[in-house]
Parts: sequence; C-alpha cells; structure tokens
Amino acid sequence: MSVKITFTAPKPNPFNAFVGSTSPILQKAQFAACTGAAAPTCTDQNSMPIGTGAFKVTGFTVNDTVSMEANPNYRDPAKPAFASAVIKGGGDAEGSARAVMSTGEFDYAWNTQIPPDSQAAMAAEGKGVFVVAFGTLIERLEMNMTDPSAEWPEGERSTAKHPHPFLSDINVRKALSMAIDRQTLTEVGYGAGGAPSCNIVPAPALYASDNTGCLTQDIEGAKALLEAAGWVDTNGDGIREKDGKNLSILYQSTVNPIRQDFQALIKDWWTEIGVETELKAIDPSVFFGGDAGSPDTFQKFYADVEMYANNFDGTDPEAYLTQYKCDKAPSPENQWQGENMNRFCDPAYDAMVAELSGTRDVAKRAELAKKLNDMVTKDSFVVVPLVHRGTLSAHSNALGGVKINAWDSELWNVADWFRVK
Amino acid sequence: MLTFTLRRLLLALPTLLFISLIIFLLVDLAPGSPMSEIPLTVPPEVRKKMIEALGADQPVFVRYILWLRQFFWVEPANLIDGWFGLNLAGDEQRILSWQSRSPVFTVIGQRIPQTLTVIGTAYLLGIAIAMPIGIYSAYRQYSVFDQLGTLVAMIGFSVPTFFSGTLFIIVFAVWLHWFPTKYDTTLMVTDWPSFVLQIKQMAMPVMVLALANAAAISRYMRSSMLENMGQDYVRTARAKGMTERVVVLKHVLRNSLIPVVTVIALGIPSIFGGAIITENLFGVNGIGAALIGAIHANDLPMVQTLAFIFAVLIVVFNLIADVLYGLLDPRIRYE
Repeated sequence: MSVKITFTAPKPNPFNAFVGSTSPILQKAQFAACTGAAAPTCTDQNSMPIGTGAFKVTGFTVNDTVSMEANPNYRDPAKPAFASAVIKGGGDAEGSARAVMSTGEFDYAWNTQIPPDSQAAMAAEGKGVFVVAFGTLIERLEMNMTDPSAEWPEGERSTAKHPHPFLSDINVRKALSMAIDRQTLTEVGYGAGGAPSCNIVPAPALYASDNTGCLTQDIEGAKALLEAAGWVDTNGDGIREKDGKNLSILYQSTVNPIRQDFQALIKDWWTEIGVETELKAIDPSVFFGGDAGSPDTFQKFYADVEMYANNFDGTDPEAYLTQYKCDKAPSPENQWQGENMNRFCDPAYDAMVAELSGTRDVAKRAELAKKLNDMVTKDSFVVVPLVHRGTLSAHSNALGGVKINAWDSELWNVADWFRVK
Repeated sequence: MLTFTLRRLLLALPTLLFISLIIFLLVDLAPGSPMSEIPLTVPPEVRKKMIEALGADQPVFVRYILWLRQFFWVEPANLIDGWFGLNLAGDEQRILSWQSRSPVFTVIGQRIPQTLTVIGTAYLLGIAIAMPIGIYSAYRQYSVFDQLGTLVAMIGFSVPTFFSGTLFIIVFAVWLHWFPTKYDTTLMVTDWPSFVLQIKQMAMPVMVLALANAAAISRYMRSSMLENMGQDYVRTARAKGMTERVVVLKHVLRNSLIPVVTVIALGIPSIFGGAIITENLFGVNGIGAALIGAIHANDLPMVQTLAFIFAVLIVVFNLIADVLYGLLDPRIRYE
C-alpha cells in the first residue's frame, strides 16, 4: 500500500507528513462527517479516535483521565507489554513528580518542571529517575525596536512609525546581553532541565550555529561599551543617559516563579551597568491571548523588553525563521496578530528567507538557517536567547524502555515500554 | 409561608437573569482570550480559523442570547431526552466548552459524582465532628476540652488547605505510605477490597476539608449553645428534675440548632465551588477544579454556565435556609 501526496507548490522540506504526533492518520470511516467546520462538534470521535497505535482509548473524562487498553489489532502481536494504561491529568508539576519519585503510584510523569533542589531531593529517594531531552524551546528576551511610550496615540505606539529611543542602538542591546550570566540563570531556574544558549535555533545540530560568545558574563565590558557609545551618567543618579534619553527599561514577562526569578536577577545585573529596570508580570492567558483590545499581549509589546519561550514543530526551522520578516510585525493593520514581536526589519533578512524557501539542498539550507539565526542574535542582538529548555520528565525505576524524545510526543515509543523485573 | 416562598422564587428569576448578564459581561470584557491555550507553533491564520470555529469572535449580545437559549431550552431538552429516550433537542447546538469541545453539561455530569462523594462527604463529616465538639465545649466552657476545641478551630480556620493538604500528603503518603496521593476516578466500587481502596483514596482530601469545615461550624454551635445555656427555661428544666442529658440534648440543643442549621444550609453551595485547591492538590476532578481551569483558559461558555449554576444554587439554598429558619423557630412569621 502506498500513499501519494501532491503538494500545491514546491516544498523544499516535504518530510513532515505522517511523521510524529502532529500529523496523525485519521480513519476515514470514523471522521467522514467531521471535516472542515464540523470538526469541533465531533467530540466522541476526537476523544476516542481509532488508530494504529499500541493502545486504544476506552474512556475519556475531560481534564482528568484517559483510560486505554492494548490495541488487539496492533501490528506487532508481542507488543505492547501492558494490557492497560491510564493517563491522569491535572495537578501541578510537584505533585506529579512526587507521584512517581516518592510514592511510586505512577510510572511516568511528564513535564515535571520543578526547582533543581526538589529534583535532587526526589532523585535521592531512589525510586525513579529524571530524564531530559532537548528540543528547540528557547527562553529569550525580545528587544522592542519600536517606541512603546504612552505619549504616542493608540495605533502608533509600538509600531514602525516611531523607532525605539535607545534600543535602536546596537551597543545598548549588546551591552544588555553581555551583562547577563546565563549559567546562573540556568542553574537557578532549570537545573538539569536547561542549558545556556546564544542561538534561537539550538537544534537539530545541523542547523545550530556555532555561537557561544554570549555565554560568559562581562559586566565591565558592558559598561565600557556603553561609555564608548556615549551613554554616560552625567547627573549621578545611577542611570545612564544620552541626548536627554534615560536608559530606563520596562521588562515584562508572564506570571511564573521561574520567570520572576529571572527578572529579578537580570534587573540586578542591568542596574549594575547603569540601566534602570522596571519589572512587570502578566497573567499567561492575557499575555499569550492575542486579544486585540488588551494592552498586555506580547504582540502589542507595550514595553521595552519582554521574555517568553518559543519553539518550532518538526526539525526544519524555515517557518520559524520566517517569523522575523518585516511584514510579520504586529500592527493595527493586521489586528496585532503578527509573529515578529520585536518588529525587526532588515531587507537582507527578508531576502535570505526567500532564498531559503527555494533551496532544496539540505546542506545549503543549514548554512542559510545558521546565517539567519546569527542575523537576529549575535549580529544584531534583537533577540537575546537565555536558556535552551529541555523537557524534563520522571519515570520509575520499574519502567524500562523509556527513551525521552523532544521531537515528538513523549509516548512515541510506548509500545516498547516494559516492566523491569 | 407558602406565599413567602412563592414570592421569593418569583423574585429570584429576574435576579438570576441579571446575575447571568453580569457574569457574562465581566468574563467577556476581562482581558485574555482562549487563543492563549493554542501553542505558539500554530500560525496566526490557523489560530484565527480556530477562534472562528469556536464562535468566539461573534459580538457579545449574540453570544449571550445564544447561551440563554441553549441553557434554558436545549440543555433541559437534552436532559429529558437522556432520561426518557425522546428526541426533543434533535441536533441543536449544545453549550460547548472551548477547551475540550465537549458539551459543558457532559463535563459537569462527569464531575458531579466525585464532587458529591468527596466534597459532600467532607462536609457531612465536618458537621458530624463539629456538633459534638461545639456542644461539649459550650457545656464545659473554659475546661481543657473547650480550650483544645478552640485551638483546633483556630488551626482549621487559619491553616490554608494547600498547606494542610501538602502536610498530610507528606506525612500519610510519602512517609507512612498509607494513602495514595492521586485520586483514581476510574475506580469502580464492586466489592469489599475496592470499597477499602475508595475509602483510602478519599481519606486525605476528606480530612483536609472536614478540618476546615468543622472549624467554622463548631464555633457557631458553641456560641449558639452558650447563648441558650444561660436562659431561664434551662433553669426551670433543671428545677423540674430533668437529667443533664435531657436538658442539654433535648431542650438547649434544639433551640441552638436553629442558627447552625441555617449556616449549614448556606454553606452547601460551597461544596460545589469552594474546594478548588484541595481538588487540584489531590486530583479529585470536581466542579471547582473545572471552574478554575476554565477561567485560566478563558473558556467562556464553561465559566458562564458554571458560575450561573453556582448562582442558582446560592439563591435556592438561601431560600431553603430562610424557610427552614421559619419552620424551626415558631416565633418567626413571614408574611
């Protein structure tokens, strides 16, 4: 049996059909009446799809439990090793980790993002292990290239009409990046579940630029850079200024204990180099909500610096790097729905993205991707990557065969899992 | 009494409608949108289509009228269909949750058993503990028992459930391995061993909530009893030669129960919405957890429906409390 796929236009990277959990195969008979606008109404089909995986769903309660049993029609009669499986949802990361590592009630807990000292304490109990896999998730700072000042009317704030008074100066952006100690941030926030990074495309290795210049903190260098660029503290208030503009930053992120820790640390370092920093934390459902009427979304970016994490699906970064094109900037014209949060606009970048979309040779694509990555990171500092965040999960010592995978669902090889005797 | 009840019920209807409008507008005007739940890897054009498919981009009043119709006609019709096998509702669009695309009432139906079993039992247990403590504390005021009762009540009031819950988990689950930390909602009680398992998994959430409930009710019981212990009729009863047991448990208790029963009746709606933290901590999928999850995800239909149901429960139980008060206390006369 073979499947023929017809693409509507030339597609240099066709390798995302039928690969992984984001492109499943649906049974035609089951989903015949569920395509297009009818899709949201088919709750039974969506909750209990008939598929070719190792387990099939027998029960589904929303936000609570998925009950599964071994698929009798699975292609390998010897697998899976378990007759039934239960996924229990809800609760928090700490409770999930505890259920595996301390009480042994569950075999696998995913996304157990708990502080490093809790990780160490639980691992020491000896009932289970933490496993980590690194995908493409990067926690980063985006520098606003436009002016978010409230003195501009709505519709002109944070748009290309008014460039940013001081973040338009590359020396300021570079100094802000140099003042940050990414190693400390990673240790404080993620422990084994993170690694410092200077790239926005950290993986796969083929596309990862050789970019390690930002990994060492250099406070003195940052100060010298600002001095040389003319940002000096003339009135002794601890804040640098030039041409009447103070280096005063509004730094926003979401409500999240780890992000608040990062904000506090970065504020300290920036204050040291003479940049006044005000912190703001916004509820995630508002920040990521994209509500055109709210001033606190990350698209509106009514702040100077914002911090969040982003990644891309699959292994090809083309769609991800396309986000930083000039026309992708959120603005009133597109109801603030763009993806180019920092409003970076460079015709050379746009041209290179166009070149990438027409390039088929993988080695050439990798080269272009690395160049594009460098253009937004070490060449311009509009995006300041901080931590390469991995998926941290926990499994009990009695569960064997787990190979955590950051590129697919964590249950990708559940057919191979077995009970350790 | 009957005219009073009828009048209250009639007044309740416009009140509830007004409440539903306020809730709808508040949640709708609040910042945030269901788009925050869609991963960032989904491109903006697709996200726009998803929002359109939910019906989330329609104007406020259209959505409100639609919701009213769905709540008062389509959903009851579905309920009657389910009970009697009719087909009143047909293919009409039900109130769908934006998070899961399943009907809101299906989710409520999945969660009601756990809410009633765990949270309801905790409430009953809390009352069962609180009454004897309150009665004996009042009878032996300032004794060691009274002081201990006051201490336990203060602890129950002041210690938040996320603290007492976590403490219980560490003591009883991690150190002693007596109880599981996560509630298994698929457990079917069919025989003695499964019944024991059910008791075991209910033990900790029920203890946590019962402690909090008992604290409040025992104080009400105690103060009500104290008020009545000093009355003249108690002295008369004792003078008539009644035993202490009869005096306290028959005469004083009955009179003291009046305010306490009304407090208990007013507290019943909190079974449904008030145990959010405990439900999240122990993985009991109750209605409170559903509400908080829906609020975080800006799932407007779910928030609106649940909040309205709570409003109805509160109005109804307020009325029940008032009627009970009138029934229990012959001195009260409603016009």
